[in-house]
Parts: sequence; C-alpha cells; structure tokens
Amino acid sequence: MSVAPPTPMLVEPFEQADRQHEAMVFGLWLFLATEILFFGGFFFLYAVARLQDPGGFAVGGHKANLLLGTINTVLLMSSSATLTVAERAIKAEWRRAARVAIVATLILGTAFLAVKGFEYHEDLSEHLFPTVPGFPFTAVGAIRFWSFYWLITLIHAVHLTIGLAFVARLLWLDRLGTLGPRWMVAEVTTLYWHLVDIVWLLLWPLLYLIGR
Amino acid sequence: MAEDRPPDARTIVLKPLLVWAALFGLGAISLGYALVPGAPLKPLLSLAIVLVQASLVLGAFMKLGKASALVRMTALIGVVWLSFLFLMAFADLATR
Repeated sequence: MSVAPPTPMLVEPFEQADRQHEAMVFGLWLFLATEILFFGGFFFLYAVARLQDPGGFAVGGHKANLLLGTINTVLLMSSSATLTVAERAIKAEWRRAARVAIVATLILGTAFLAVKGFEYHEDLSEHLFPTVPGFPFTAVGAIRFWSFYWLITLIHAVHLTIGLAFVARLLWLDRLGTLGPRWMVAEVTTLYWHLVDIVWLLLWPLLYLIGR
Repeated sequence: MAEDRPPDARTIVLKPLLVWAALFGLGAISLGYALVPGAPLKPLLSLAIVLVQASLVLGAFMKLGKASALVRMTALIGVVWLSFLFLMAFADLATR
C-alpha cells in the first residue's frame, strides 16, 4: 500500500506539482545523460588501451587492492539502499526513518572516501603511480592501467563528494522542517547518487577483478 | 513531517533491502568467479553481472520503468550516443 507524497512546495514558474516533478526529473536525467557520455569516454579509453595490451593490463591490475576495492563496493551499494529508504520515508512523511537513513548514507559515503584515501596511501607507498621513481612496471598496458586507475577513481571521488554535499543538504532541509514539502529535491538527489553508484559497480570489475 | 510510522513502512524498508541483497549476491558471484584460477570468460561474465546490477538500480532504485516516456528517452539518449562512439571507433580499429 503506497501513500501519496506530501503537498510539494512549488517554485516559479510552476503552478502544478506534476509539471514541476516532471521538469525536475527530466532535467536531472538530461544531466545524467551527459554524465553517461562523460564517463563513457573514459571507459572507451580503457577498452582501447586494454585491447592493445591485455597482458600488461592484467599484470598492472593484479596489484590493485582487491580487499579495499570490494569493501568500497559494499559501502556504496549499501548507501544506495539507505538513500532509497530515505527518499521513500520522506514521501511517506516518516521523518525519523528518513533522518536515520540520510545519516546512514552520509556515514557510508564518507567511509567510502576514507577507505579510498587509505588505499591511495597504500598505492603511493608501493610506488604505484606511473610517473614516480620506483614504479614497478615497464609494460605499456600496466602503465596505462595505473594512469586510468588514478584518473577515473579521482573523478569518481569528486562526484561522490558532490553527492555527499547534496545528501547533507537534505539533512539541513530536515532541520529547517521543509524536507517533507521538498520531497522532489530528495528524489533528484537520489537519482544522482545512484548514477555514481552504477559507475562504481562498473569500475569494480574493471579495476579490481582484472588479472585475478 | 509526521513522526509516527506510516502504513507502508515494510515496503519502504523491505524493498530496497531486497534489491541490496540481490546486488550483494551478484557481486559475490562476480568476485567468486574472478578468483577461480583459469576460469574462462571472466571479463564477459563480470560485465554481464554489472549489466544486471545496473538494471536493478535503474529499475528498482531510480524507477526508470515507471518514469514518463520523455524521461526514459532522455536516459536512453546518453547510452545511444555512447554506443555510436564505441561502434564507430572499434569499426575503425578493426578495419585498419
């Protein structure tokens, strides 16, 4: 049994809730389509580089930290579930559950970044950065793998940090007591977060399961 | 917003939890298969699993299936243009 969401706060130029909702979801998906193309370009780069030297790619990928990468995958998958709970709880006017789920999402997202930071520290201590002295590989594929690893994981981390700021904003709106009528903001925030999750779901096998 | 529990509390929590469990299970299969020494078609299987996971997130979490035709078409456009990039570039590489 579903419950109708609370009466939304309308903003200019909209006079009807359904039109505002359609415009917000459409606008966000338009942005996500550009994000798909943005990340797609990097995945294309990965595909071409890997095809040119699959052996070197596998050797390079074998040094990626599987345990930390897997922990981060679980953290991000879990955060997608908690943010979905938050979004639905907001619509159902179940304020306590919404607040708990938003805080859980913030903790999981921050934990992801902390684990990533720890992983970067480990990578650097093993000289796994293509331009530093002592980089352990000479194969072109391995060099390209680690170039791609740093580039794409940093870009993803930036996206996640932006997502965390938007999720934190939901908590702020809750404190102001306006989150219920602004459930559409929660919905589009959730859409962005899920795309960042999907990108990581794709990165996990490409970066951590390769060469196993 | 009200503080009391809404009538569909089970749905609000249970459905995302079930999808999370499915995502987790699929990830475990992908990891398990990747660790089998000498197993064939590892990259293909892991990418196929990612496709299922992404479909779950798109359908159950992002509610793309229930979205309007305009929204669904917008979501598709990014993938369609991306497929052009892959098709044309790989066609060029394959015919050199």
